[in-house]
Amino acid sequence: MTAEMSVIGVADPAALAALVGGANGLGWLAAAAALFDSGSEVWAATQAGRTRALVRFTPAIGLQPPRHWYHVGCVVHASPELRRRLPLATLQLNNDLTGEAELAGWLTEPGLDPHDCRAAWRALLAAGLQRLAGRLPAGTAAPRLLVELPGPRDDRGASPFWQGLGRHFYAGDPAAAQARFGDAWRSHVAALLPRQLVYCAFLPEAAQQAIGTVHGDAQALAALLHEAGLRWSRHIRIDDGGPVFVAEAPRAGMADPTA
Amino acid sequence: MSPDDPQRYRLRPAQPGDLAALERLAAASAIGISSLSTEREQLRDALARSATAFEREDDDVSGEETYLFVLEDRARGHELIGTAGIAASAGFHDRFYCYRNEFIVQASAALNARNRIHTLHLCHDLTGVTLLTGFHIDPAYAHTLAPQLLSRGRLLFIAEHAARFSDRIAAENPGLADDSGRCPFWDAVGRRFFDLDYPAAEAMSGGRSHKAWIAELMPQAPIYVPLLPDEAQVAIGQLHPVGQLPFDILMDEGFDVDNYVNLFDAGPTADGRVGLLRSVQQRRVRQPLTGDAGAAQGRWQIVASRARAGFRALLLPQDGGELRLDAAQAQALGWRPGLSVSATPLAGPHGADAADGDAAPGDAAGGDIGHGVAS
Repeated sequence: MTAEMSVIGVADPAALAALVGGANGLGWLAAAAALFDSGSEVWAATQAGRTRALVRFTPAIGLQPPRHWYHVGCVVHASPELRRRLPLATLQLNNDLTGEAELAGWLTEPGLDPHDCRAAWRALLAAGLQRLAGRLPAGTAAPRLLVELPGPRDDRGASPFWQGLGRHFYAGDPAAAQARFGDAWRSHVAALLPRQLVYCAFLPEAAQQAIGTVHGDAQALAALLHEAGLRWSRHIRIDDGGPVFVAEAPRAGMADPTA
Repeated sequence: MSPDDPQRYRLRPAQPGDLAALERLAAASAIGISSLSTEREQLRDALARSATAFEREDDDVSGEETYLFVLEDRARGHELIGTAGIAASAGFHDRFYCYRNEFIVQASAALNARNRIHTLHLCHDLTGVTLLTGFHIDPAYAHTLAPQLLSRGRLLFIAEHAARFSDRIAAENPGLADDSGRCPFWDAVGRRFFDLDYPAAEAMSGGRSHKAWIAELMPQAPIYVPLLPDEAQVAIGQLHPVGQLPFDILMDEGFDVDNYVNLFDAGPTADGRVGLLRSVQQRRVRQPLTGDAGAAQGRWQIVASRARAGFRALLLPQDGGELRLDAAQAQALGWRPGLSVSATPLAGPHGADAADGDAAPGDAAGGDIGHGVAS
């Protein structure tokens, strides 16, 4: 019988060290410490006193600095005269999801079995949805909860999406920018990316394939998000083309593990 | 008239009777900047429209006129050796499409990075602009002065009848394509939106004139050139060697070639201000005298009648301030004592450079378009 999963807030790195570094005695402390950021909270899913998973909850993203995504759209070129009709996928750089809430930086205890892992993620996701439901004044538009998922990479860690699009505009490495600037990396890199509509047809086949595709390592999380009612918003990450999943509104029937 | 005497050539408006000769020229795969139709009906139609345009009074012009000129070799029984045209107003019935070259510079101070991105914008900038069209010359004459008269003679006609034309002018030039019609720019851009071979698409465009449907199918957002294959990028603004001769003449006239490229093959579309073109700037209205023009000194000028339907242009030796026409020249030009003509020195190695313009006092600039001595 699996013990019940609880979600607790982690106040600061010291509290995190007490949680993670103590009982678990694990090497994921450094990665977990990097979750702390102004304007965000760090949540832990705990089970029988052990910290199973960590996530960062941000109530409103993209306020400072702005965050960028590509919206995957469609334009239809039709000529009645030539009896031709051509739907074309397009990418448009924008800040559509500014102000939404986000769960990011999903970390799990090394060696955690898949069943417990899923339970921990589910608990963290439910907590996020619950939080939004709690602050929702009657009659207002539901705040949305989003989760970004990584896009495909090759064996050397290169993203076919970046190779096909971004690198023509910025010769540097987005991962290096991320390491240096934290969350602000997106706005720095996006300053160099195309601001006008990009026709996907101009991208190499591999880059087109990567649009909205989830990295193999994140398939399990993607499946869980789908199960919880989150759907691809037709936005993708600017570096690897990974999809952004969004919950339109808190779903009924999700148990609140924090209750 | 010696075989290499440039005075043997004459430029005049095409006439319906030129049909057979034009067909021969088309069939002989003349050097040209666009495909001259070998279809009899299309040629017949073009000749009829041109005849109408030349006859139409200034008050009646609408801008839809197309003028077709032919070049004759008077030393060979007035054999037709070249043709070239003018469309008074590009895209008259609809819009004239081309890509405009633009560059976008973006920068990130934090990343210490900066880019300069070449983009192509589908535009109608050249709608209504006068268009030089359909330059074709018999290859045997490519290295004579005949093409100079054929191309630049049109500019004297435009300058003379300025009210019928725009003060802006443009000319499309062929882009890179191989003999089978494979075109790297088309394959990278147009094919993605049409799924047709370049020749098929060009044929569908109705000889570059009827392109309304292009707006419905071609990309409306700027094309980011760095996303195109290298082969296609290199082709942008590249001239097909077959167009070198007429292109060089346009360059010498002062056309700009960095602004626009053709929608299909990305060949350079040259554009300029009519009044700033070399032949137009140096054009003078002259009062010829009867007499012997004198021996050629190796420097030539284009002399044209000021008539419309009776337009004629010849290459004559540059004079020292007194333009004389002998009986044969007068007849070829349709000149008689008392009439004025327009004249402009031939540029390049066969003519004078701008500083040598022998404008004598009294050779007033030709009213409507003359802009004084070139700088």
